[in-house]
Amino acid sequence: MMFTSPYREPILPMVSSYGPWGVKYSSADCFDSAAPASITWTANLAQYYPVLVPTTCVAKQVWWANGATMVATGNVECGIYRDAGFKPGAKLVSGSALQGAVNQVQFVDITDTVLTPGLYWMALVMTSGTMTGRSSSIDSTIDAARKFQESSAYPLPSTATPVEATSGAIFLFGFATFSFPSLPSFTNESETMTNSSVSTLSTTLSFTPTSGRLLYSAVSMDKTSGALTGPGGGGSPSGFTLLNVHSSTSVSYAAAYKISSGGETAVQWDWTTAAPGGASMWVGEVSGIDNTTPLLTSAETETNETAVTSVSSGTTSVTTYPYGFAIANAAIDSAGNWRAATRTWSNGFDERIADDGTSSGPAGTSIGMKALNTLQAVETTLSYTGGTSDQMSASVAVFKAT
Amino acid sequence: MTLTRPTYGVRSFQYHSVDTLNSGPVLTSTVTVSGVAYPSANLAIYVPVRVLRRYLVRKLWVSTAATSTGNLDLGLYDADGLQLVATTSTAKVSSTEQVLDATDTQVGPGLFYMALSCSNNTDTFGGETDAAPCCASQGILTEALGGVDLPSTATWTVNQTLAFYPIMGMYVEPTVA
Repeated sequence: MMFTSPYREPILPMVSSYGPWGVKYSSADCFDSAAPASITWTANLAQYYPVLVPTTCVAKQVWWANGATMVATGNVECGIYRDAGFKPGAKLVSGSALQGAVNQVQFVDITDTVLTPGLYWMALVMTSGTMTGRSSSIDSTIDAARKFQESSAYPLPSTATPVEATSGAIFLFGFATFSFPSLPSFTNESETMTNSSVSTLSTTLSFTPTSGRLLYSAVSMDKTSGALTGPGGGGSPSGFTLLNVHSSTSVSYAAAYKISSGGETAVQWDWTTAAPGGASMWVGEVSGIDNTTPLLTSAETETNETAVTSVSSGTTSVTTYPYGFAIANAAIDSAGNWRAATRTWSNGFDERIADDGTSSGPAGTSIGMKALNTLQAVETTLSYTGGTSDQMSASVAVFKAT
Repeated sequence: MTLTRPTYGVRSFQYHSVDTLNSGPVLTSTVTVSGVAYPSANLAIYVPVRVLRRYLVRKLWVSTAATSTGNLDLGLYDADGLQLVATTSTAKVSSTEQVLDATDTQVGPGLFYMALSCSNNTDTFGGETDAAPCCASQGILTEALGGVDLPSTATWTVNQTLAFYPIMGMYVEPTVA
């Protein structure tokens, strides 16, 4: 007959180096009560921290806290190791990703892994010496008593070969015992602008898209574009789903999206009537979007033969899911008229732009983006000051988070 | 022969207050009770707390500081975001443990979330002010509400910019305050 103790200790949703079961279990431990600051990593140095798992639980995600400086091409890997006689042994599970946004907790899904009560080791490694994580200092007289380390350990090895730790820092990372509703985030972009009269425009991607992430593209064409003629549905780029299309006398635009199959190298738009002054396009990648039904809602403002200095994206219907990512695009007849201006997307949207920095004639493309965490009707307005008014049109699309 | 029950972790007992200081995540730096302005009006902040045994929750409390012009609401949620008990919107008072009656509610053992909402962003509370994303790293979640009242079901999310860890808890002993 077996009895289960009713006095088991519930597991927290975030098990971490800073926690009741980690090496820094109080603000005074490790002789440091300062908040974790942004501290650089030693490239490819794995750090192994012990963690006491109090109750059987399931690790669903690994995570780490990014510091104030990121390296877009730098990789981070976080893992969990079995104990092998009071030091890390065989790797149980790990997850890796390109370093994401600064000063944010970055989550990576892992294979659900059951951990029974006992001693485990959490491992973290970054591939660049200029990458930063959040960390507190640890006194040099006790650092080896709190962790191990291993050089040249990216990717994390299947079996650890730990040595005495020498770095005086306790980094903030760990694993999650349920899947947090993390918001989507912008990860990569490429853009192209030409001042030639063209009816096709292509962008070679400067990044390698990750399978399952959202790819969004918008194109702006000088004057009337006529119908889109690309090979995708409705004339969109190959593999893309067309969202919003507008062809008019002064400026035309189109937007489309797809869930990446991984490894796309270029995106191309084609249309009927050559844009006399030129065109521009933008391609962006966003992580954390639902792959099954990515699009929640969209809207557009199809104006406008009057020169203006602001344009609304239009207002969407109220979203039916609280977590998502909104992307707006605005097209201007001549990019030179807003290039030197101060441009702002309202309602908390951040701007990206497709611009070669010199051509005045091509239609310009500005992108606004924002993560969402409540049900809402989405609208944003691009305004600029300091430039010359011109014809503009805009649209917005809202994508569902996983 | 004496048998000792194996236990794991820091402790297996709690006392009359189960709160975000003694049963929540670990503070990443030194706490202050000198007064931290509430980060955003009508923002619900959910802090995980570990309940080690079966308790009868009698009251909910929060550490407050000097500035008080708005209302607050306190609540307790299960790990799935369902509200178990909450106070009603109540005028905030200054510089005390503000203790509010709640319907006696049995909870535990398990993981729960203490919840706080305040109607403005000027009232001050006791808490920790670590720079983001330290609160997110401790599993603290938030939700933008339409008003100060806490919802029956939380629609929470990771808040990467939150820099406020509130001190609040539940009294399982009826004579306190």
